[in-house]
Amino acid sequence: MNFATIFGSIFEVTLVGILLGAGLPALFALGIRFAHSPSSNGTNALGKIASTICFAIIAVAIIAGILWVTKATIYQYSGFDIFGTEG
Amino acid sequence: MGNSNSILGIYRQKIQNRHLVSTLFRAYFPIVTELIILLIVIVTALAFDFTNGFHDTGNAMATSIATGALKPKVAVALSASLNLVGAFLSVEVATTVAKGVVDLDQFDLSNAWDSHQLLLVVFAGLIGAIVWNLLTWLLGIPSSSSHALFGGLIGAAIASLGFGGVVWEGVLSKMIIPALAAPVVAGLVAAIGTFAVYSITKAVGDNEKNRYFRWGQIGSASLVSLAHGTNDAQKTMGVIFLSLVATGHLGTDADIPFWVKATCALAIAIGTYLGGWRVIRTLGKGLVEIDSPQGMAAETSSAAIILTSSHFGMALSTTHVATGSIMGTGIGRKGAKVRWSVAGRMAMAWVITLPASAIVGVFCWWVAHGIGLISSDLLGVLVAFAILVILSGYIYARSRRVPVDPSNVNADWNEESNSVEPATPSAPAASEITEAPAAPAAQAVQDLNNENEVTK
Repeated sequence: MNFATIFGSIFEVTLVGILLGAGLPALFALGIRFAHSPSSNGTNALGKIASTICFAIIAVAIIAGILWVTKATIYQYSGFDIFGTEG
Repeated sequence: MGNSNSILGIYRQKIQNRHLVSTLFRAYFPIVTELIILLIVIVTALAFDFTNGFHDTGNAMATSIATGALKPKVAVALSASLNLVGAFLSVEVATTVAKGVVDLDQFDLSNAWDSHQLLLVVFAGLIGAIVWNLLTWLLGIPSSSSHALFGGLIGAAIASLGFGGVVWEGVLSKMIIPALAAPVVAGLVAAIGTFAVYSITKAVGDNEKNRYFRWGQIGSASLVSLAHGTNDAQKTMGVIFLSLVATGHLGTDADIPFWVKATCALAIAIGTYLGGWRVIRTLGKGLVEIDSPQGMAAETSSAAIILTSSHFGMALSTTHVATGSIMGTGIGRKGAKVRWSVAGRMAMAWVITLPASAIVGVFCWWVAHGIGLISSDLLGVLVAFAILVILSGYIYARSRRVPVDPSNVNADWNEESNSVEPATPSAPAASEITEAPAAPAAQAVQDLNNENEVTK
């Protein structure tokens, strides 16, 4: 393993880390912000929809996370390769 | 005359009997000895698995405990259950332990002497790892259990095979570089996350905000626990599997026996449930004072990195990532401070994890091997095991002087000593009888203090 590959790996891990590890908390914060929009009453319905969308994306991410952890087990017992990483 | 003859006959008979017994003994002794040695190695492996769970509870749960999102006991119970489930999810347990770091393939398993040597290397490596895990727990330092295990194995492999038994390039690319990268990467991700979270929710009231973030914290911490169970229990399963292969009880391509999976899952779960309160305290209170939004950002950063890093060819240690994330939340929040002296002590511990556990590994290998040469293999293993038990007992006894448990895990950090042990009241508790009722009272005072801080 040479240094170029190592730093390539570190770079990729960092990039994905920022996308998911910082992006999801930001999305969650956005959902909270929309749900508790301090502006006038009129925007509340819109805020509720926006916050629901944010939380729904996070729910999908959590399910994806659990499937990611269990992907090898699922592949072993059902042969179903969810992320195309096993075969 | 006849009398003496019959006495002689009895003696002769006795000598014959003794001869028969000793022949039987010689025939079966190696088998029995080997079985006992194997059992001791398996017990030691499970003990390592236990310390692994025990040491790493804080990685997932320290932030939730510190912010009060979960009560301490509930947090460790949740983490233990998820570790148990995670361990049972393990498949494809590698028959090779520490592949690419230690070259255990040099042992020819069809040869009885080599098999025994391999078993000794694994055994001595495990002792090194357990001793290091316990010592760092006593000091309240989160350090990587896999580094400790690999360190112990490296030491034992050097003692047994010489320096050629270690794949030094693997040590650099699989251990040293990831250990340097993990805190930086995790710290960066968590700092960005924390900064974003605080900027976005600036307009939302603290109470409402915290209600959401507590749930976010619990969710992200649960994912970390599940991933921990899957990754870490697998390591011990690999060690036990290798020992069973070395002693000829299993073929190299056999499936992992259910009892191995079950005992490893239980050992890591029980360890997690007992909770390494000292490590939890350092991570949750010592490094950074944490609030729910920070806790959520830290655990999400940890979960994202732990889950994806191995996919990108750089397996980062759970402990290094979790610690880096928690530091990052201190950097990303305006006004929060990281206690750099605590972080520095931690970094120091990480640097010496490998050599320290390696030295214990070398020492235990020489004890077990040396005594094995002059006496019996079994005695060597028993003496090394006794050393482990004595050291563990000493460390445990030392930890009881100032215990850290669910009642004082969130007590104010001792800024002067920076020690994980909470400052004791000026008059030390005289006996256990006075100590017991004092604990809830101390907690109440603690809660009051916290409230005061909030209202300030």
